[in-house]
Formats: sequence, C-alpha cells, structure tokens
Amino acid sequence: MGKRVLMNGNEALGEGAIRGGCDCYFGYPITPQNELTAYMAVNMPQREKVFVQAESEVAAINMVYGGAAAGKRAMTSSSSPGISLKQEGISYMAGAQLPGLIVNVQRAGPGLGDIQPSQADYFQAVKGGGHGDYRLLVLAPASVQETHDFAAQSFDLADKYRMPVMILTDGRLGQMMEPFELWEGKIETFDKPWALIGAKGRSGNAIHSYWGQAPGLEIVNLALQEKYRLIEKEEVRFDTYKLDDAELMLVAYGTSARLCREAVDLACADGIKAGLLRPITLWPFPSREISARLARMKKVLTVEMSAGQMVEDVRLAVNGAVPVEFYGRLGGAVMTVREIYEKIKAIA
Amino acid sequence: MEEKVIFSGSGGQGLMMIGKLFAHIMLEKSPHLTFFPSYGAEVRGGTSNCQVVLSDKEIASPLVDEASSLVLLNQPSVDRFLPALGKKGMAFINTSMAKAPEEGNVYGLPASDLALEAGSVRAANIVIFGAYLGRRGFLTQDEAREAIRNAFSGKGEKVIAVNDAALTRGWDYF
Repeated sequence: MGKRVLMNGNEALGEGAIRGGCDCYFGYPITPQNELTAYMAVNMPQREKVFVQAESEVAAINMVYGGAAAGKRAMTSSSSPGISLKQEGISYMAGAQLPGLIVNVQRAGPGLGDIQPSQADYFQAVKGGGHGDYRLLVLAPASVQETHDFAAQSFDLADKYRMPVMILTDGRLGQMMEPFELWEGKIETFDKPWALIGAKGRSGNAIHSYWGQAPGLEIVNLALQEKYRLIEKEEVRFDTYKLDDAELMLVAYGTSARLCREAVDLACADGIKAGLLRPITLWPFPSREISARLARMKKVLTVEMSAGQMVEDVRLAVNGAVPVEFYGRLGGAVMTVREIYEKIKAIA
Repeated sequence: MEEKVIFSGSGGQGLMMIGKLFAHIMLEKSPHLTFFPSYGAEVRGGTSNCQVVLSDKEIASPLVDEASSLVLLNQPSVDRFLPALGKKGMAFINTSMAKAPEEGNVYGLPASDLALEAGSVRAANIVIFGAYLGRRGFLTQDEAREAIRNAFSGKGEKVIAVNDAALTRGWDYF
C-alpha cells in the first residue's frame, strides 16, 4: 500500500494523473480547481513533463487534442463555465478517436454562476455537451482517495478505448483535504500506430474528424457506437451500502453520495430499511445494476446537487417498477445529512 | 476520537495555517479526518475560516454544523460562529479583538497581547492554537512544540523562538 498523505482533492487528482503517466497538462485558471493547475505547474516540470498555461480554455483543449494526436497522455482541467468552452474540442476528440483526460471540478451555474459546489453539469458530461453522437467515459469520485485513484487509472481507460475520459468532481471534493494512500499501480502501455510521430519509412497517418459525405461518416459513427456498446458491457462501476435488505434505494454520486451514506445510517437506526447505490461511472450508467435490485424495493430516492439530472437515468433504469422520488439543492447549495434523512422519513 | 473544530478570524491572521497544521498533526492520530477552507468571496474585515473534522468513522460532510470546538480570533468570527457551539463544546476567543461572553465553556484569552509579549503580534494564531491544544489534550506539550518547530523550520531560529514562546503562553494560560 502507498504512503498515507494529506492533500486536497485537486492536488490529489494532479498527483494521481502524474502517477498515471500524464505526459502533458494544459490548463487555464478558474476557481474552484486552481489548486490542480498550480500543482501541475510545480510538479510536471520537476518530473520532466510538460505544463502549459494556455491563453484560454479553448486553446487548452486543442492542445490536448494535439498532444493526444502525437501519442502522448494529455489532460486539461477546468470548472463548469470553462468546461462549456471546451465542448467543441471534446467533440472533435471524440470524432477523431483521441484519448485524453478532462477534469470538471463542478461549480454552480448557469452562466458565471458561483464558485460553490454543484452537480448540475451531469447532463453536459453524460449526454454529450458538444455536438454529434458521442460519449465520454465519466468517472465520479466521492472521496479524495478516489479522486486520486481515478486520475491515475483514467489514461489506461482512455488509451484502451481511444476516447476522452472525464472525471466529474465538484468544488467541495476539490477543496477538501482528506488523507489518502498514494497510488502505486502499474501503467499499461498501448501501441499507437495511428499517432502523428513522423512518417519516415511508412505512409503518413492522418487524424481528423471530417469524413465527407455518407457513407464514410455513418460508418465512422457506427464504429463509435459499437465501441460504446462494448464499454457499456465492460466498464460499469458502482458501489453499494447496506443495500442487501433495503426496501428504499437511495441513488447518489460524488459529494451527495457521501451525505446519503450517513443519512442511510440515521434511517437504519430508526428502523427504516434504506440503502445506497452509488454510480461511480456516470456513463456507462449502472442501469442494469439498479433494475436488478428492484424486486424488494418499495421506492427509489435520487439525491443530487441539481434540479434533477441523473434522476432521469434512474427513472429509465427503474422503468416504472416503483416510484422514483427526488431531493435536490440548487445553485451552489449543498444539502445536509439531516435534510436527506428528513426526506427519507417523509417518503418511507 | 470525535472533534469538529472551526478556526476563524480575519484574513491574514493565520487561521488557514493553524487549521492545516492541525490536520497534518492529526494525520497519524485520527483514522478519518477532513480539512475544509472557506473559499468563497469574503469581505475585508470579515471572516476567513477553515473547519477540521476528526472521527473514528467515515466523514460524510467536512462542514461543521455543531462545533465541539471554536477557535475565534476576531469579533465577526464570534458573532458568526458562537451560535454553532455544541452544548459540551469549548470556545477559545481572542479577547484582544473580541468580547468573550462569560459562560462556562467559553475560554477568553488576550491572544494578540500575549503574542506581542512573545515577540510578534502576528503569532496570535499560535497563542490561541496553544490554548486550544492545551485544553483539548490531543497531543502532549512536547509534541505540540515539535510541530510548531517543524512548521516554521524554513523561517529561521528567530521566528521559531517567537512561535515557540507564543505556543507556550497559550498552552499555559488556562
């Protein structure tokens, strides 16, 4: 096991990405993710890796495109408004089948919003914030340890499937310091015969997302969809807590899930049979894992720091089998454990 | 071990510094801990705060609703956080800059004046941190002195001596 250290989520994410083989980081400052950029500014050059503070978010994501096209492990990070700016580049990366890591330390919107934590970018992350039929593999950590570990593991996933991976965290997880163990796993190496690294002795490669008229573009799209179906089969991650004999299933991710866990404890102490299912991959979403556990459930309660976004995927998974309730706080407000517990009591 | 402490003062009084230092000191002593800074926009003369939670169980929220300890360096911090003190909690208040109500669980000490006596008014945070550690018993006085020495190790012997004296004045006050 790795050494136990204390850092905030943003710094732990940076250290995880470096341990996961990040070759180059491109970023532009925005609160509440600045500690990540600052960490990379100090630590990437020290480890003989590339750090560039780009002139804008748009520039940063296109530098990631360039780094990835050259076969390097490239990443960028931002917070909600900055992630909106990157959407064109993310769509281009998906179209060109380029791997890379994009980190969104969510803050409240819409618009400039506020720097307080939020989960209102779920739709953007999971349903495709940019144009076209594409997906990101979206990981949602609920602790500083997971933030660190997922960053370390994300480049292997991105390279394996040749697609961008997003880590969706929030201002609270980013700003909070918590002890964690340093990741000491092994990095996989992937052949990248498609990379643009000079064509001496062979014909040149081309990386682009323009395929002209049908049928070329439809064939590319069908191939993407085939890849996404494989990922839905192989990469779903989730966690459960006290769910085995529960009659009320809470579904929550990230910061909300931490709070739900304690609310479940309070409910169980009151004799209410509640449990938690925590999606770790938001896409692919653990739909089958939710529907497979509905037989004993009387109700499902989704808790989010949003007006209700993931709850739509929960409802699709439940498909009318039992009522799906929702509790959310908006605009940078974070619910308390007590609020969730009161909601559980009201519907149980 | 269960502790929920809020450190609060005006920006620049070194509240983040002692909060982070406390979290690092407790890293090996507490199975679970969180440190959370106030990172929103704060007005000049208002409060800057950080919150540390120690627990034997997993911690759901790093935010303190009911504090077991308060370390408050100025009046706006007292006004804002004293209502959050739990019934069995302890509040440490810098009476050089704030009024401490006369209640059994409120410990007032003139931290800024004591810091000045120790060599620098800037060490008021360390004085009140010393009082907090001395009353709370998470570590011995020798451990606390060593932690302060390490925290200021890059700043030279004079700074270490001032902060060591500040810690002792706080520790010995009650």
